[in-house]
Amino acid sequence: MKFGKEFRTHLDETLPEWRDKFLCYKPLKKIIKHTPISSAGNNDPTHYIPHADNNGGRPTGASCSAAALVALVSSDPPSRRRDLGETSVSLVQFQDWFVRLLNGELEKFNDFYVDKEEEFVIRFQELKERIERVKENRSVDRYLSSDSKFSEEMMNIRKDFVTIHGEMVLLENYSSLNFAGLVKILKKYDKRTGGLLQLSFTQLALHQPFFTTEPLMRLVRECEANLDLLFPLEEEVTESTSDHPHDQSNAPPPPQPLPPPPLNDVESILHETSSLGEGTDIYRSTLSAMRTIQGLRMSSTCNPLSFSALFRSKDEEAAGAVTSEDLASVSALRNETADQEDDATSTAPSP
Amino acid sequence: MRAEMNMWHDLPMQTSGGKCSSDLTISSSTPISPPPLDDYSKMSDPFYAPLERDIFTHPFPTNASPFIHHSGSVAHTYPLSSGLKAGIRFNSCSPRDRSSHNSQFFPQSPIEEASPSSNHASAPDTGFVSGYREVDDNSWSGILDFPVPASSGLVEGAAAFLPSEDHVKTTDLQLADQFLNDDAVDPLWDNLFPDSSAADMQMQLKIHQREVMPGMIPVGNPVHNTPANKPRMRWTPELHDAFVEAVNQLGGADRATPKGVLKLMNVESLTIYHVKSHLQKYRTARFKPEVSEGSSERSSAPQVASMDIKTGLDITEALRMQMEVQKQLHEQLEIQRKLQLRIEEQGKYLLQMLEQQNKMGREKLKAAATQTNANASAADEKSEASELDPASAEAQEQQNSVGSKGKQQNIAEPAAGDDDDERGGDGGSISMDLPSRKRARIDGVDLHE
Repeated sequence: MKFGKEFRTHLDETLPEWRDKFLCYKPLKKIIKHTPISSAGNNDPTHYIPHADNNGGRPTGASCSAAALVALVSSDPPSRRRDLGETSVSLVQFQDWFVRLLNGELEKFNDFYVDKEEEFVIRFQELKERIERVKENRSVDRYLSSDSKFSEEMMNIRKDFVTIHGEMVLLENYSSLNFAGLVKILKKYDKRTGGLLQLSFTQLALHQPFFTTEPLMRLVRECEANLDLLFPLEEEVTESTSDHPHDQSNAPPPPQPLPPPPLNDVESILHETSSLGEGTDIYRSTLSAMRTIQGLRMSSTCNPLSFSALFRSKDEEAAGAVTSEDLASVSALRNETADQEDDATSTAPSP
Repeated sequence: MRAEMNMWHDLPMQTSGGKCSSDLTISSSTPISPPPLDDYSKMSDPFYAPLERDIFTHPFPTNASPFIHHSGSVAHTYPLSSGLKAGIRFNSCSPRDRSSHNSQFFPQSPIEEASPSSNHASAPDTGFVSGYREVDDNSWSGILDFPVPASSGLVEGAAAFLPSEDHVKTTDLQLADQFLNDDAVDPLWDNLFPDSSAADMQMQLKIHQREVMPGMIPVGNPVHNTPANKPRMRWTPELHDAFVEAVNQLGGADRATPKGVLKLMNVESLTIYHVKSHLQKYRTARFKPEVSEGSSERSSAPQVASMDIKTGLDITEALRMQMEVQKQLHEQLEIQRKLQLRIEEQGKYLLQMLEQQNKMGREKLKAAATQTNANASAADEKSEASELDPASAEAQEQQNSVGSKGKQQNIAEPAAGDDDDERGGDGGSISMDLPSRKRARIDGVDLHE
C-alpha cells in the first residue's frame, strides 16, 4: 500500500515525458488481485482485455501497454467477475500471460533506459568538448574575447551540466524504483498464486540493462568530480564583486539529506534564465525522488532486511541520513537474525 | 574450468587497470567477458538461451580527456572502462517455448568456437583471447548480416540480432555445455556483487543457469519466454569516443555518413543501424548547443553584461544548490541499489536450494521407481549428495561473500554427512524464515514439488 502510494506520487511529480515509461504498478496489482483464477478455468486471460472498447482489440499480453492495462482494470472488476464467472483463467494460463506482461514491462524499461543512456553519453561528451573549447578560447585570446560572452557560455555550460547530472540521477532513480516495484508485484503474484515467480524473475530483472546501471553511475561520478572545476571559474570571471551580497544563507547545503533548499528560491532563480523549463522540472523531480526514497524507508515492513528496518536503526541520529555504514549494518542485522534463527530452530543433524 | 573462470574474471580486471597482464593483447579486438546471464532458460531444452555479453572490439585509443575518468578509481566501476573497447551488450534469450523467436544467439558462436581452446587449462588467457579474436573476424560478420527485423519496434539505439535458426541449432548445445560447465564469469556480476569473489561468480552463474530449469516453478510453465531479452547495443563513452573520432575524420557530423563511420570505426558487431541512430542523436545534440552559442555571440553585449552581473551569482548559487540536492539523491540511490542487490542475493540462494531440492526430489522418485534393491537407491543418494555438495559449498561461499558469519549449514542429505565437516564457515546467515523451511524440506524426506 505504502509503496503504491509513494510510487504514484512520484509519477505525478516526475518528468512528464517519463511518466509512461515507469512500471504499471497499479494496473498490474489490480490484475493480480482481480483476475479469477481457478483450476477449472480454461480461458485465455487476454479475453479480459476489453476488445472493442477503446483499444481496438489488442490481442496479446505481449504487446500490452500501460493504456491497455489501465483500460483493462478500469472496468468494474466485480461485474466482470460476474460475467466471467465460468470463464476464469487457469493458473498456467495466467502465469503465462502475466509473465508476458512483465516481459513487456522489462522491454519498456530497457528500451527507455538504453536510449537515455546513449543520449547521456553523447550529451556529456559534447559538454566536455564545449568546456574545452571555451577554455581554449579563453586562454588563447584572453584579451580579445569578451568576458561577458565567456561567462555567458560558462553559465550555459554550467546549466547544462547540472541538467544532465540531474537527469542522470533521475534515470538512476527510475531504475531503482521500477525494480523495487517489480519485486513487489512479483511478491504479490506469488502470494496470490502460491508460485515462485519472484525468485526467478527477479534474477532475470537483475541483469537487465535497465538495472545494470554501472555505466550511468560512472558518468554521474565523473560529473560530480568535475563539478568543482566548473564552479570556481565563475568567481574569476564575473568581475562583479566579492562583496556582492549573497541572499541565500550561503552555507553549503546541510550535510543531511533533509531539508533540501526551499523549492521556491531555487525555482524562482532558475526561472530567470533560459533553459529553465527543464531546470525546474528536474529539480522538482529530484526532490520528489528524494521524498520517495525517504518515504519508502519509513515503510512498516517487519522484514529485518527491508530498507525500513535498516534505516530505522539509524533514524535516531541523522534524520534519515544513510551512509555506507548502513550497508555494514545489513550484514550485522543478518548475522543477528541468523543467530536467533539458529538458536530457535533445531539444526539439521550434523555429523 | 577454474582456469577459464579466472580468465573470464581477469580480463575485465585487467582492462580496468586493476590487474596487470601481458595478455593484454586483447587490447584491440576482444570480447571481454561472458554476459550477465539473464536468461539461461534452457537446459534440458535444446534451445539454449544466448547470454548477454559485452564484447569489445575497439581499435581506437581513448581520447585523452582533461576530465577525470573514474575508470580505475571507483571500486564498482564497470570494468570495461579502460577505453580500449567498444561496449556492446547483447541481451538475448530464447523463449522457452520454442515456438518462436529466432531472436536469439549469435554472440554465442564466437565464444563457442573459442571454447575448445579456452577449455584447456594451459594459458587460458591467451587461449581464450586468441580464439575469440579469430572467431571475431569470421563469425561476427555472419551474424551481422542479418537484418534487423521490422517488427522489432526498436527504439533508436537498440537493435536485435537475428541469426538464422540453423546457426542457432548448431551452436546451442555446445554453448550450453560450455556455459554450464565452464563457470564463465561476467564482469557485470562483479558490479552487481562487488564483494563477491571469483568463486562466487561462477557459482552465481551456475545458479542463474539453473534457476529456470523446467519444473522449478511449481506451476511448471516456462517462465522465461522473454521477448524482452533481445540484444541491445549499449553505447559506452569509449565507444562513443571512437564514433566521434570517426565522424571527425569524415569531416564532421553533417558530412559523415553512417556507412563511412561504421567502416572507419571497424568495431565488430556494430551495425549500420546502430551507427545511423547514434549519428542522428549526435547531430541533434550538437545542434542545440551550437544554436545557443551562436545566439550568445549575436546577442548584444550590454544586455548580456547586465544580466550577468546582476544575476550571475544568483544563478550560480541556485545551480549549486540544485547540484547538491542531486548529489544527495545520487548517493541515496547508490545505497538503495546496493541494498536491493544484497536483498536479492538471498533470492538466488533460495533458488539454488529449491533447485537442488527439486533435483533431489526427482532423482529420488526416479530411484524409487526404478529401484529393485537397496543398493541401487544407496548409489543414487550418494551421487545426489556428491552433486549437491559442490553446489552447497558454492552457496556457502556466496554467503561468505555477503559477510555472513561462519556457520555450518547443513543442507546435504544425512548420507552425505561426512562432507559437512569439510565445509568451512559459510552461509547460514539467511535470516528469512524461508531458508529454514527449505532446510527442513531438504533434510526431510517429503519434498514439496
